Amino acid sequence: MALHIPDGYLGPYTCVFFYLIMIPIWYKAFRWLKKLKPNQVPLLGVLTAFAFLVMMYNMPVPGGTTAHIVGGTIIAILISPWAATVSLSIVLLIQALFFGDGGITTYAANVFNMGVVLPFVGYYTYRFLVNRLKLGEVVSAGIGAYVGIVTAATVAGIELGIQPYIQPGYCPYPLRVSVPAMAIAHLVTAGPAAAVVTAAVVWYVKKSRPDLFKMRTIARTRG
Amino acid sequence: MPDMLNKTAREVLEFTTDAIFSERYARRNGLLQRVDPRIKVISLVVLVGTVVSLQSVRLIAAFYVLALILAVASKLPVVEFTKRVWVFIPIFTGVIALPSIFMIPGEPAFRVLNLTASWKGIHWAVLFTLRVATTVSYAVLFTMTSRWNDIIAALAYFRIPGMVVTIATLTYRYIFLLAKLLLDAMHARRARLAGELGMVESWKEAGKHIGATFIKANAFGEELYHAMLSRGYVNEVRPMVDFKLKGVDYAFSAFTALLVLITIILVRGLP
Repeated sequence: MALHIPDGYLGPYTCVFFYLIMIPIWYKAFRWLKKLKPNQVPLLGVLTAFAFLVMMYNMPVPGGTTAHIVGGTIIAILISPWAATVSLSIVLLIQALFFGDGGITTYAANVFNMGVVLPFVGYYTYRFLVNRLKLGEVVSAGIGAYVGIVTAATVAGIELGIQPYIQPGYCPYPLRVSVPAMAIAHLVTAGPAAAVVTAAVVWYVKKSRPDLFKMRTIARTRG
Repeated sequence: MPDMLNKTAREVLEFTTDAIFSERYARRNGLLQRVDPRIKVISLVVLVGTVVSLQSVRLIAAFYVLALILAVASKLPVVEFTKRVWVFIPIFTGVIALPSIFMIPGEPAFRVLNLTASWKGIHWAVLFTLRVATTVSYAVLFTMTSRWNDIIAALAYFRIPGMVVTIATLTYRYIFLLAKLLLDAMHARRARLAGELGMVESWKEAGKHIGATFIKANAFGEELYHAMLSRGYVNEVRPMVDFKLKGVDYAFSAFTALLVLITIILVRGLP
């Protein structure tokens, strides 16, 4: 189970719409990138490869199948949500061009779901829980990842579900089918997996490299 | 219960083998391998964009046949190519589109139990599945005939910011190194494991592995920076490919443009 929308599922209007939406977001992400110190650029390259690898883990989920996690919240918490946008834009491009995951026309929509909605919702949920509700970092990271992936799946469900109202010949299911299908699948299967995995990552990094965790590698060290 | 360690190891292996096989086909002396990567990127976007916009089963089928012809012209094994296209995404699409033939109202085609399938429903389900298979065909065609370094150089040419190109270049290289480490880690953990991991246990295990990989990636990033610095790195790595358009590039561009033009005329009619 994955969140990648292949080519042919979204009609041309929706695809163009998401490219237009992504232009200012990519611009903002690029501005963030420009502020990096010279040594942080190669680091982000390796960490993007890390983001690619995170998607390769096959998690067993209820129902006897497996699911992948996106890892957007992990990167957002360990580095910065903008790093997640940059990394996932590159990861999704490599996947679309070289590994047949996702699509070319749906690329911008996929980046929006997995590289913007997921990490930002996940990250700010985590921040809210830590700062306002004074919950522990590990638990907050888990909840953040859960909220992030379920929100991203719901947004993907909406994108797929509006297709029959625009033009037939693409995803054939209307909102009342597509949104519950995407949301419920992630609420009960990939969501809990993402939550436990993300919490475990934060716990592990915090415990074995507290310096790295505190520094937040990139976000906190730049000017 | 599917086993996280074995399944992840298998996924990494499949991924690496796929990449190696693609690279082998990309080195063959076929039609698309000879086309300039810049032209190929533009053509891919144009062709896939056209297929996504079309509403006619016949035209999309024609584009599908064209993809097969291009595969043959590029010396790709057709069986392997068709398998790579159809396995998973289009078959999966067909399965999920199937119930929709009963949901779309229209002239009834046949009845199963209490459900009536409409001709309209069948038409849209076929169109949808064929469209997905055709777009996947073009993407696979592109994948099997292109090398990452060339594509990165093409992206740099399209004014994608240098920093993004640098990051993408490093990413592709480090994917394979990290994939090898991941594979080793999965085997090592498997070797030390008595019994099976439970579901939640395997999620925690994956989390710890991802955490460890993150720490390793940080160490690599630091070393990489110093290695690059000693070779004169100044914030950007420029791809060293000198593009020059050849006859085949002009011919392929003209062919793509003509194809799109004919498609537009067939859809809209002559002005």
